[in-house]
Amino acid sequence: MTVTKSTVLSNIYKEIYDLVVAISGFSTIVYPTFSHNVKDSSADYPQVVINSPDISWDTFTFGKNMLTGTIDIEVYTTTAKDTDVKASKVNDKIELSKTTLATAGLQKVTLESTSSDMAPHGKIKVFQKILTFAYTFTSAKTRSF
Amino acid sequence: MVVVMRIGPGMKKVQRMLSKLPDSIKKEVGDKGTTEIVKRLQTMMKLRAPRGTGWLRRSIMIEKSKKTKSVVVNAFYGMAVEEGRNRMFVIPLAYFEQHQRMPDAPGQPFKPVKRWVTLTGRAQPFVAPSLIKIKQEIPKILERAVTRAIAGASK
Repeated sequence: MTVTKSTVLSNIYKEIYDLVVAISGFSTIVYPTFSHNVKDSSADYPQVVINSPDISWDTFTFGKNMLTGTIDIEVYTTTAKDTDVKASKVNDKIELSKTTLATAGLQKVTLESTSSDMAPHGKIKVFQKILTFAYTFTSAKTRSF
Repeated sequence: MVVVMRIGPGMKKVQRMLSKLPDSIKKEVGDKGTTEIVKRLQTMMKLRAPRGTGWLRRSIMIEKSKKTKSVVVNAFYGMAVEEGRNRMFVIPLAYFEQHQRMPDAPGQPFKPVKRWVTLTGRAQPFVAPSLIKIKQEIPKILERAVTRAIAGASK
């Protein structure tokens, strides 16, 4: 699936989603948002949440614009080790798929930052790891004159 | 004594970078950096918010004005959850009306829920721990934003 100017937001999400879902063991644990309802059982985890991408446009050349953006992938498990293992799998998959993403139009995909957190939910502890990936996308400028 | 300074080709680049730097810092730090901070704070508060119907968690929103960005807990009983309910605290009728007006349950009568976050009476802080945690992350977020601003101005 190619990322184009008209489908930039949806296709960026779809590209990343397809990659993460293709990881072994991840097909049933990927969601668009973290559940609002009660999730205080170990059986409810792990969960991987892919958030909507953030974008901003800059001028690249006289005839082209460059889009720079980030997308956050959140990993929730009940142990710190499992969180790191799953986050590592996500990072590895995206790292190895850079050629695929470049073919689709997303260049310079890099892991910009990570963040960890932990909170008790009932009798269990939920560990969170956020992976922030940055990317760029160039497209022709829309002439308005 | 006469001191002669010659501006080489490198200095023109530096001059160009310095002229672009204020706008770049305003964009990367003032806009994107602060947005990242409030988004991270919202994520932390949502992770720590106790769950019953999920309404408290859903009510944690980001509000932006011209000069400020805020993370707001819109739930009427947010303070009662954060600081605990004492004997003098009376849950207002608006609390029940708010639940009845939930967008994903329009026109539904008030139903008993398996778990209410305010009935225990004890404090279940989720704002204060999030603020303590975000204070550790703010320098890292701003450092990344400043690095991006300098890189953007150098192009």
